[in-house]
Amino acid sequence: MGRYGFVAKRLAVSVPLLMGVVFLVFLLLKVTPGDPARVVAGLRASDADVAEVRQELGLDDPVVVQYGKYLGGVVQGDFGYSFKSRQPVTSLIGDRLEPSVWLIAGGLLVSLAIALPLGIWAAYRRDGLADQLIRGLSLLGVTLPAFWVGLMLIILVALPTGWFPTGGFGDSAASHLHHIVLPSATLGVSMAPVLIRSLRSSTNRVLESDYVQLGRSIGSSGVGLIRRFVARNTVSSMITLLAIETSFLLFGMLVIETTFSIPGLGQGMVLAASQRDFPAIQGYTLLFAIVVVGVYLVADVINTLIDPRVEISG
Amino acid sequence: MRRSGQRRRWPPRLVIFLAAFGLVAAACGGDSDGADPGASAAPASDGEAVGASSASGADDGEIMSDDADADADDGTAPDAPRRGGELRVMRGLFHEGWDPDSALELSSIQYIQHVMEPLIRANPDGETLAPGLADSWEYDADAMTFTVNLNPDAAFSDGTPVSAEDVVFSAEEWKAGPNYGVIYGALGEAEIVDDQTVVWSLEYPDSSLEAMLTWQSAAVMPKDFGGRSREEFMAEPIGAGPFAVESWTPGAELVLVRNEHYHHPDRPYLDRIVITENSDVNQRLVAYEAGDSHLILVPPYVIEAVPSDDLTFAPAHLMHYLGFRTDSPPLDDARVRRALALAIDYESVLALGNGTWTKSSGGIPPNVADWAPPSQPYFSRDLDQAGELLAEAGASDLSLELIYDSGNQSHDLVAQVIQASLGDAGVGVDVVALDTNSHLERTGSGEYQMDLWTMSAISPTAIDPIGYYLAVDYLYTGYPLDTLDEVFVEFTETDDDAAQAAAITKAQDEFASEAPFVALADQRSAFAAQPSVNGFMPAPWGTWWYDSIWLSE
Repeated sequence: MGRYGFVAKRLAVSVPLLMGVVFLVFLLLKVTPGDPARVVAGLRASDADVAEVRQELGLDDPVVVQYGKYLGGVVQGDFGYSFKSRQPVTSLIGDRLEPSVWLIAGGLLVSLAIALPLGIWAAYRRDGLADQLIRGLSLLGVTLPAFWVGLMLIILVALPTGWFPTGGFGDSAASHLHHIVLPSATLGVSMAPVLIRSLRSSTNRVLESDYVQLGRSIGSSGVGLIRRFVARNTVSSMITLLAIETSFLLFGMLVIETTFSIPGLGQGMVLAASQRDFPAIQGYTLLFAIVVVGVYLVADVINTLIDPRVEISG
Repeated sequence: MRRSGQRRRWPPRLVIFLAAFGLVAAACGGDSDGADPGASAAPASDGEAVGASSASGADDGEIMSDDADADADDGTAPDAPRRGGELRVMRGLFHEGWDPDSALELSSIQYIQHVMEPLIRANPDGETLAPGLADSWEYDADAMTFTVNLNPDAAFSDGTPVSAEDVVFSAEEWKAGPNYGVIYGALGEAEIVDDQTVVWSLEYPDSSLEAMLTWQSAAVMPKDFGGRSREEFMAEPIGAGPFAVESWTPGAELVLVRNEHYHHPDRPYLDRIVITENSDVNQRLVAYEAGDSHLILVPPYVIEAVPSDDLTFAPAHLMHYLGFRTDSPPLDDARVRRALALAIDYESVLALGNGTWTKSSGGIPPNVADWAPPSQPYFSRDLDQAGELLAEAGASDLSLELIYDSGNQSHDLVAQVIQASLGDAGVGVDVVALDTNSHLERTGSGEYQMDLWTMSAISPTAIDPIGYYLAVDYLYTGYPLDTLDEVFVEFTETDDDAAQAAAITKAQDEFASEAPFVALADQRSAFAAQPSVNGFMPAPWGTWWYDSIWLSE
């Protein structure tokens, strides 16, 4: 199968996958206690008013019909209107996109900045003191909840020094950067331990490979060995790891954005859930699903392009 | 003497009040869940309010100010209000949108009032009214008219002067509102006398009208929405209030900017207000401590985290109460309800308020105009009498369910106190914590036995809560509304103070004798304001005007 065919096939598989995700969310919202029509009409609304709203929103239709209508709208870029703010869901998402992109980018950078050197160093010093220390710290890191890390950074860094804001996103690029430092550090620190451990394992495998042994036999060692023989051969697994990381980042974002009052997608998702704003919940869920599926697809494609050992198969 | 036509208007009318309180329910889980110990409501006492609550005094009204405000004109005094600056606020309540008729949350009500200022404003003392866009107003019960004279300097934020036509157009919008519209039912045909004067004929006497004109539901908008559709206008509204909308990200941030065309010669002082919405009280406290936020609301259970010098308190008002569903056994028996009310350990409940809660002396939140007590003292703990009443009612081995909103952390503890208290009287209590929406649904549908909740008024008159009780099925208890119906009519058909006090006492007496609900404590909302914040004056119900606030250097 050619590479274009591979991408086309992956895209084709993604569509029913996304439809399945949307349907699952639909079903979950249907079995959730509470009446969305009541949310829209208000607590004081009469039963007749609620019934009218229910009819207007199509909530009396069978679930499959509602699902079909929703999908029809999505195809045309219409995610519906928020029950709470009455704004288009696409507008809600659009307004919240930028802070989340900043946060994910910052979180990825920080986690890579921590994980890359430590993961490779631990593997290179396998079973040595540095390896033991890094493994111990990463194990500790895995157990630390993101919100706790964020709170500690606020208490131990932001409050005593005043260097960074405790929350918000600012209103200019420089201000965004200033505001995003601590949240990115929180996200990065929370994600780095898994990355370190995975990177250490994959690097170890590479270090034990024949070609690295060959490199050593011809006199390569230290940074040169890592650069020429190890790093290149761990890139593929790193890309896969990054794809997985990005998925986790999306959900870490829910906590971090709430902790730091960042007006991003994660905060919007939490708010929509707490308000039973079903169209918004569906919109955010679909967006997250698209991002996750898209990231995995891109990772697979990149791997096939950069590593000839990766087979393209169905 | 009551006309038959009058009775018909009350039930729908309550709907309006209810709207205001649905929000309070949510508020208690959010930032209105605050109060403070001991200190007095300093801002209000410093104010230089001149009441406008009576018809004849209307044109004497002034917006309340703190002492410094008096120096605003020359700006030379050391503590003279200073123009400029950005106020950063963190709140736990989320803004719902700009449609005045749809607003439920206190926060939304407050923001709409700031952008689309009504004709009349409620002063933060909980007692008096002040001019909004109207310079003066006159209620004439005999002539059955209500006259409004607009401030000639009133202008929308785009610079267009506010005209009588705008007001008449707005009034039609108020009346057409499916939620709040019924409270403006007294407004009949409007006559535009000149560009600044409107005279309404009244369908019936309504002494509560001027208070209702302070609500966000009486927002003044440009005629025909300034040439836009209603939907377009509500998405990006303009008004003649002290601030205009710069941006709004629902559930995250609202930015307001100074209306350069505001009618007051000095106000607002601030250039910009950035309101960040975050339901996490710890995050709000941290932001305050770091100086990232100038102003936050402080729930009682974290009040010690804020330096006492930074705290400002509204007068006690927010009422915590225990509602009984009265239409099914065993709580359909007033003796049982009274027994439960007498069994509650009120001292232990008050202790949970960290000094910010005071014992309720009636079933109407205090510190608003026209408040009057019951004829007899309100409930206090008396286990012997409680036991006698239960025995008299033949109620033994009672086991009841108590629901509450788990979003209100104070109520976690109050529920436990009630459980223990009633246990002392031999009544078993199954405590059920519900998320906010589930709690609203259970309460609203009457599917409960005992319900722990919170309520308050939003305008400076004691008839406001009565209207709310009428609107929400006697605080969702299902108790017959006949007496409250009578009270509402007796109060609003006159502006005689004694007659109005008698009406309020009549309602209070029913609360005490029939106990469809029992008021547990009245809370003083607490706010933390940085030392640089001046002119902050919260009303008893927990809102304030931003245009009196200024930042020192």
